[in-house]
Amino acid sequence: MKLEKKWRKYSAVAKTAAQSRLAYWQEMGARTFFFAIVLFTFSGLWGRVIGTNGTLAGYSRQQLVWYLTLTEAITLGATSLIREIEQDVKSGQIAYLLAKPLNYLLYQAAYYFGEMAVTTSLNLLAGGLVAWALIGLPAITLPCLIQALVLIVLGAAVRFCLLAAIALLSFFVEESRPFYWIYSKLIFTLGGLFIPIDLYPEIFRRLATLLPFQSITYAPARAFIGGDWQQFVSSTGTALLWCILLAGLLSFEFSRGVKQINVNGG
Amino acid sequence: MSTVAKNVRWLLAQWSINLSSAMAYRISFLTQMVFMLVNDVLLLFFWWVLLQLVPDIGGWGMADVWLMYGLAAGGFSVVALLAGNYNRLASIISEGQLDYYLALPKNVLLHVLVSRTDFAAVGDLLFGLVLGALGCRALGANYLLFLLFMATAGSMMCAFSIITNSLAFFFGRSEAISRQLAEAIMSFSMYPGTIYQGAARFIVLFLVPAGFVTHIPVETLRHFNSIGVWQVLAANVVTWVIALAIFRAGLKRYESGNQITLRG
Repeated sequence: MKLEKKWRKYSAVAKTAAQSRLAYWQEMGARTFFFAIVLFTFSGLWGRVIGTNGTLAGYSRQQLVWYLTLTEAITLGATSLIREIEQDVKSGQIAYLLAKPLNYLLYQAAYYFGEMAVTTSLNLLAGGLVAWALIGLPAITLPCLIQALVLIVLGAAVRFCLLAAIALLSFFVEESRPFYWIYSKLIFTLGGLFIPIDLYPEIFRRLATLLPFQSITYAPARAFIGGDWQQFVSSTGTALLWCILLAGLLSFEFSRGVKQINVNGG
Repeated sequence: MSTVAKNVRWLLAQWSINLSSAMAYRISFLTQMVFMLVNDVLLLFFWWVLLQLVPDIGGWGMADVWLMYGLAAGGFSVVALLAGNYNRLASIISEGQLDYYLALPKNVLLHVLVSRTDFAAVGDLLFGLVLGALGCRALGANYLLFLLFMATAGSMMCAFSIITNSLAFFFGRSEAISRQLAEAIMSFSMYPGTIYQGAARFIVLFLVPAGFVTHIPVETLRHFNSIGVWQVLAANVVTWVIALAIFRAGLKRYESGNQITLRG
């Protein structure tokens, strides 16, 4: 009963976040435009590099374009998480939020997943249509689709833990933005944003598998363009492990951070 | 004192004020500059990985990529340092903030553009100059010509951005789409020209003229021909004529926001 009540409370938060995201149609239009440019450019790039029927280390042009469609849809599914947490911490608003009958981190997680569900779905739809028009539909199988969906959700959880941990650094440092920039570059490189990590030189491939970033972009996109169950089990295990580790770290950071809050009445 | 000399003194004073404002937040300025530089370096990672897998991309090798990134980053830094409001015009127009500039005895567009300097672009400038030097050395190209193309790249980005941001005069709040359109020229500039064929080639030359920002300049640097230089210069002139005409037409439609704006 208690758990059901909690679920209702946080799912209402997620629903509100999803509805408010839908109101920003101009921003969504602009993002779709950018997405179309990226896919258009990469379709040309892969066409030039590997031709229509060739392959690059076993990947066809169609697979590489659809891989990028997935990774970009996920990456462009940006949320207001960092900005919200930073503002709460810097303005001191967090002191009031802590007094509410909500767990602050769970509230942020619910809000984040609500926003993510809308932005990522719309990105997938828009990007999918552009990719379809540019290069045609890939041979999608139901298992690939299911694997990709599961890994997108797990990757989103890993991403939430990382982003929230970065935003909560505002408790300890004046400016947490530079850490976000590092994060975004690590997604670009070790997350395999543009090309599958399998194509990297050995040393970078190994490094990528040791870090959580590949769970966010590479793992779901790789599953979509032709993953197998063995790889899926391995990717799921890795993502779950990172979720647990990072959630623990986040919780520790939060508990240390709130000890630094000074409330002045008035 | 001649009008030109007066304007030069005014521009120098304006940039000096912008620098003083940035120096009030030294740590923030330095952090942004360093991270911009790191950001640029990491962008090369993708091309490095790709060129490990294939010998070239339609005839473009790593040295061409260095030149391309040098021109794109260097061109961006030129416009961001000298005319930092170039990509914020749409917000300024739609929020009625042009009122402030209209009341002053200076050219409105020039005044708006130079009122801000993005000092984080110093990182891009360093990156552009170094990559340009590396690319020119590897291909035996003329560095002075590279510097000229860096200036024309910045000029082209600025003019194109004025065109897209002026949409706000006609369609109201259009910041997001104006910004994306203006950034499209940057996006297209950062990929080898040889990947754009047929209709795509037409788009990057005449609709979003990235071809004149990096593609034609890189080809011209590699195999010098004066036609390439003239093409780039002519494209700049045409784009600026269009940009100024659209801005002027838009300014006639501008309605004051009756907003009280405080400027520090």
